[in-house]
Amino acid sequence: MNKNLYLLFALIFCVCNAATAQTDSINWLDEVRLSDVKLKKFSTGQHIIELSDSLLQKNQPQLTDVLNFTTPIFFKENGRGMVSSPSFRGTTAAQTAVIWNGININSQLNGQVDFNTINTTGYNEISVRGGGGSVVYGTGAIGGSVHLNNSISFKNKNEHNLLLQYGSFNTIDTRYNFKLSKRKWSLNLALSRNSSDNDYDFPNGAENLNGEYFNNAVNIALGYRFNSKNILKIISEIYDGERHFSLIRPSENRTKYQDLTTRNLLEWNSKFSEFDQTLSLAFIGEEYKYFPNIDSQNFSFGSANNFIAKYDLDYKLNEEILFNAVLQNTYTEGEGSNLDDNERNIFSAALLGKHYLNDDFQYEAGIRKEITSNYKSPLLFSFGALYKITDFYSLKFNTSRNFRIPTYNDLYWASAGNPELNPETSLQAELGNQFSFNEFEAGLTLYYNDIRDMIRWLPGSDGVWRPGNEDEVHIYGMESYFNWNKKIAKKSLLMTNATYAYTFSRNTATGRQLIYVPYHKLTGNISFQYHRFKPFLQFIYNGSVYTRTDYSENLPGYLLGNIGLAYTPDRERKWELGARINNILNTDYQNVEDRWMPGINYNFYINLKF
Amino acid sequence: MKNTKLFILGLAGSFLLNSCSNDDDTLPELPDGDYREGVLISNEGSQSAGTVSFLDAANTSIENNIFETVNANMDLGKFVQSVFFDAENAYIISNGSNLITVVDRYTFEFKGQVDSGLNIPLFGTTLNGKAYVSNVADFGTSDDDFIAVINLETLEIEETVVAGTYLSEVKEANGLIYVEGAAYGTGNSIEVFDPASGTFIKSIPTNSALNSFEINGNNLFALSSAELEQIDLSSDAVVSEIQFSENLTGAKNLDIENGSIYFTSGTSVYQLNQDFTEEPTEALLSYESTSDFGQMYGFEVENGFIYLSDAGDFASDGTVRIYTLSGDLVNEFTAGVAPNGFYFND
Repeated sequence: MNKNLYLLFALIFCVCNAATAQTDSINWLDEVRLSDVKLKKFSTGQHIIELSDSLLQKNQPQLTDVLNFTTPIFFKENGRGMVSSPSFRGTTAAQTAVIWNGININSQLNGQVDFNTINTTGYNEISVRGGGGSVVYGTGAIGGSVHLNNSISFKNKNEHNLLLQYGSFNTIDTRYNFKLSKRKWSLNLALSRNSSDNDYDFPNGAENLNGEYFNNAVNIALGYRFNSKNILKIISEIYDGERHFSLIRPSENRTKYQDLTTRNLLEWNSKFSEFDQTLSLAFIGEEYKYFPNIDSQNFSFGSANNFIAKYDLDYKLNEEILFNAVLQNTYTEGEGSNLDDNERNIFSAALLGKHYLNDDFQYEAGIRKEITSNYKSPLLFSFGALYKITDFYSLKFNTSRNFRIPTYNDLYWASAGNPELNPETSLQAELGNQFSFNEFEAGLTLYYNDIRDMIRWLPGSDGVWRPGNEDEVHIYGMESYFNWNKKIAKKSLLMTNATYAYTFSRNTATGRQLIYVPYHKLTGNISFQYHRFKPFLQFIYNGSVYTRTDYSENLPGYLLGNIGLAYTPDRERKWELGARINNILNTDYQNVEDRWMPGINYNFYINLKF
Repeated sequence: MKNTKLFILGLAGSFLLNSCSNDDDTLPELPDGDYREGVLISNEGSQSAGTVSFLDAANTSIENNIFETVNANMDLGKFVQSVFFDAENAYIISNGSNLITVVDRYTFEFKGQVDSGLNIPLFGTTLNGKAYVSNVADFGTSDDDFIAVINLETLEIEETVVAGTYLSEVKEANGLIYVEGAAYGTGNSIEVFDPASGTFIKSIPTNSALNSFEINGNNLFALSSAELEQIDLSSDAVVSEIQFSENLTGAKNLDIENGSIYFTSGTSVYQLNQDFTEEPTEALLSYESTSDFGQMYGFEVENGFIYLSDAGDFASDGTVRIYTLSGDLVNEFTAGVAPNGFYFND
């Protein structure tokens, strides 16, 4: 921690004292039908951070920017807009599952999601859940899961929203949303384009060369209600992006990377007597091209097509007891420059049950097993309980066994893939405390996670890098948060939230903290509404991270702050003008060695509703 | 060793002075610099720039990261691959940054760099004021690998000559430049480049998957993971060869010193005479590696010592070990990340 951090604390303290009342910016809309209803029903004993679409608009559209200032997840970014991978609760990049409308979209090729290739414009809500979730969400839900959701609404609505944003480094962000819904049907269309020259200066005076990027995204969600018991949904999106990967030194070869992702979901939900069933068919396509030298036309590529069929059946035995069974078949075909054509099929069955014993106590349990010829699949389980001890204090408990399956690259990489790999497995438990008084809510979670058979690529004696089930990691840590919203006067509203996480993630062979896992991360958001003005402040503090397993090198911790102001000129609030100053303290910082991030920079936007 | 030599010279000097009172005694003048007479160790680096370490000639102490120590706020670039010399300078190749950094070989002061025209440079050598450096260009094809001919006065590339095969290790012998026509386990030739004509004049076929070679007089020795060949350079004919048995897997790191052939397999060093007929049955030495990976990442035999390195997990500092020719451990040090080569600065 440094002086700037104390100054910010002092500032928060002053702002908090000066203020007094509340509403909630982060909540669920009543009329919405999410595809990921499981998240609400089966998260007993876990904490979910929910981010509304109004909050999403305040940030840059990339998922990294949205989550960095609001969650305990640490991001490793190879420079602004470049490859970004998460470390959630001290885990590695492929141990955070990203769930799109209930479907796991982690790459079949490398197991990860690059959080700078998700444009959040199309989603109505993003939720983040810490801790295991493999019973429901499958591979990768070890550190936690990030849920990207489209909601379908059957309220009468006809609404256009256009956001135009211009910022430093010739960054242009355009987002258009169209919502049209009637009693029987609903359409939600989102178009976005984001581009940047990204030619910021490094603290040493050099310039970020070859860092330009653009991406286009289209997202359509269609819903049709046949009657009160049958709803059909189609959600489809395409993401097309190109990034040049920035250079560390001008003499390096200039490279670029293209992504093309398509995600499609057809879902039919119907209710009869005590049953609620959902049949889903999904197609998830991913494709990349990497150009190791942009002066040449040569590139390497990889692609995977994922076909998913899922049947989900809820059975309500009575008002207290709910059973749920999920059968899923996932068929994947992948190929690439360094992958032979390969296909794999995974069938899974999960059974969950939840019991509301009384108004104060509820618990749930689940098991899952996969059947595949590709790897030995462990039996997964989860158990969670919530006990409301008093009106202001609840105790939560959750334990689960989770896994991450070997990826296509791990198994089939030309002459290096290791078909004998086992999944990584994780056994974890957490104890959560939740406090709420009026407009104040706070939580403190302690957790322990024992991860085995971690897959790591290392060069073999012949110099060829191969994956193996190498490491065992024990993680324990603490996550805490508070939200406080206060209505101060008739037209004044103060909203604050903060998170703090302490993470101790130890490789058992060396006894040392994993590289690129900070011990401390702190986030804070304060926004204030005063008549038509909305000023806000966001900050994060990331603690120092080791970059070598022997602790010989590290990156210092840093404090990063943004401030902004939005103004609504008209009474109907159809217009909003806004400005942001990012990295207001002009902090020199890196998330990855030799990868400088930008200093102070600016954005201006206009948001139009019609 | 440096101090011992000075001490002996001093003794000799005082003896001469005392006995003859002659004032024309001349001590041989040693060049200035902290890094003369010792071993430079290249450390590839991983996520950040590679480094160079210096091991003193007596093998008693190591100094890591000497370039950044001497030249504040500078680094060598990503993936330090190899080092080559001329009389005054050391040339340090970083393949991930397309850079050759030129330093005074004894003081390590920065003198310049070759920073344009390279495309994944690997190895080099100097001859008559020019450097000859192998470049991979596109990893996906062997069609564009080239030799860059660099003018050492201007540090500009004068010409590039495409070989038509993979290229890696470069050695000068008999006024010609011999280039390993293989890289990363693919390729089976030695390509001979004539500096006078600026062309490749011939290709000597070798065993496949060549990984290292040596030239000793008129003999070429070529090693792959499964085979060792001796080729007569006057006829380019194979004069002797051994196919290794199952006991010797993953042979690499061929080196010839004082008429003996050395190479490694796993964590063991083997020695052979030049008139070999069959594979060695016993290892000269073996060491324990904490992981099974990054073993024998660098290897060299010189001045009566065996130098080897282990890259550990590639995300922390590696180790170097020095043995006598009979296999006794002399010393062990922590170097930089992924130490991959030894260069003798004498």
